[in-house]
Amino acid sequence: MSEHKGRKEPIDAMSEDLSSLVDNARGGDPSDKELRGLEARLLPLLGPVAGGAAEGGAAEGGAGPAGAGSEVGGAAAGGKAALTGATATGATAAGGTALIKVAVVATVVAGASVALLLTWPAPQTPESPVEPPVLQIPEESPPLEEPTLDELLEAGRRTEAGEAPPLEESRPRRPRRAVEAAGDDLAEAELLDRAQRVLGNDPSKALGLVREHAQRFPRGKMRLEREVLRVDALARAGRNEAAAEAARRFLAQNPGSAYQERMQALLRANH
Amino acid sequence: MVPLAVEENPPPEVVPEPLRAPLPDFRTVFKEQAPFVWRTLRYFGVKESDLEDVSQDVFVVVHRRLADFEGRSTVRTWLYRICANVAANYRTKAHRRREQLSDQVPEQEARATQTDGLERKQARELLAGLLESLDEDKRAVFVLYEVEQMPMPEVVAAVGCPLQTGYSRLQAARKQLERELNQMKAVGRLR
Repeated sequence: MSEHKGRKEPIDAMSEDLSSLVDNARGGDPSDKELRGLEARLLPLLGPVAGGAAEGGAAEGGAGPAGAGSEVGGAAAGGKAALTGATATGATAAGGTALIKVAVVATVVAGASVALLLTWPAPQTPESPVEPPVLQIPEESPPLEEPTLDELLEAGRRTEAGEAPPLEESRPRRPRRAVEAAGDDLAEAELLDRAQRVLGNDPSKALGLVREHAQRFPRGKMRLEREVLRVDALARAGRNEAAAEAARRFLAQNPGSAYQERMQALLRANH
Repeated sequence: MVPLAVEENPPPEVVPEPLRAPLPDFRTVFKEQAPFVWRTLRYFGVKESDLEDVSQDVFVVVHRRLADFEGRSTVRTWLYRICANVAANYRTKAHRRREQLSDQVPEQEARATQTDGLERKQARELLAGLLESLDEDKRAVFVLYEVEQMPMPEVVAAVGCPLQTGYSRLQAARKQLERELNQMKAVGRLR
C-alpha cells in the first residue's frame, strides 16, 4: 500500500478528498462465505476431471433463474431433522402436540410430493434414493400452511401449557426464513464441496452426497452443478448406463446451460 | 441468462519480460484471483447482490479461454479485460435484472454491512457511482492504478496503451472525479 504513495508520477497528485475516498473504498474483498459460494458454483470447472472442457455458449444462471434460488426457504439446514425444525418452530415436541403435528405433516408431504414430481422428476435409474420421502421438506412448501401450521401448534401448546406463549416466540416466521435461506446457500455449497472432494477416490460416496443434495435442495441454486457431479460420479463408479441416462436428462432439461458441452463430453466418453 | 458473447482480442502489446508469467491452471487462477475479479466487477458497476453471479460468469469465460492465455500479459491484466467484457454485457441487461432483484435488496444490504464497516461500504458505493461518469479508458486506468495499486506499466499493458497515455488518462480521471466530488459537496450531498 505505502509503496504506491512513494511512486513517482509525472502528473499532479490527487486531492485530499479523492485520495481519502479511494483509501476508504479500497479492499472490499468477498467474504469467506461468498468465496465458498462462488467456488461451489464453479465446482464442475474446478474439479479433477481430466480433459474436462466445460465450455458453454451461454453462462448458466447469470441473473435470471438464480433469483428463484434465493427464495429457498422452509427447509432448515439441519437436513432430515428439518421437518421438526420447520414445523415446530422451537416448540419441543411434547405429547400433547404430537398428534397435531403428524396430521399437518401428512398434508405437507402430500402437497410436496406432487410439487416434486412436477418440477424435478425423480431419477429413474437404479441409484434412486431409497430413503422414505416422508422426512423430506420441499424447498417450496406451499405458503398456505404456514399460518395454519403455526396456529395449530400454537393451539396445541396453549391447551398444554394453559396459557399463551410470549408473542415473539409465536411469530418468528418471516425473519427466520431469510436467515435460513442464507444458511441453505452455505449448506448447499458445503455439501457439493464434500462431494467434489471425494469424487476422485470414492465416487460412491460422492454419489451419496449428490443424492443428499438432491433431497435437501431439489431446486437449489446449485442443482446444475449437482447434476454434473452426479454424471461424473456415476461414470467413475463404472455405472455408465446410469451416467448416460442422467446426462441425457440434464441436456434435455437444461438446454443451453454452461455445462452443456461438458455433459456432451461425458456422454461421449461413456460410449 | 447472460449470453457471454465476449470478444477477447487483446491488442498485441509487448509486455516487459519481468511481467511474463507461466501458464497457470484454472484452480490456481481462481484461488488467487477471485477477490480481484470480485472487486474489479464492483468498479465496473456490478451491483453487490450480483457480484457472485457475474464473478461466476467471468470464471466460466476464464476456464474456456485459459488455453488462449499465452502469458503475453499478466494474469491480472488478462482477467481485467474479461471482467470488462462480462461487466459490459451485464450492464446492458442491468435494467431487466433490477426489476427482478428489487425484492432482494434487504438481504444484499445485510450482507454488505456484515463483511465490513458501513463507512467503507458507503465509500465504495460513492466511488462506484462517481466512476460511472468516466469513460471506459479513464476508468480502467484509475481503478487499476489507484484502487488496485497496480504499477503503471502493468496498467497500460492491461488497457493496451502507451505509458504516457496511461498517465494522461489517470490525470484526466482524477480531475474529473475531483470536480464531481466538489460538486456533490457544493450541493450538500456530501459532508
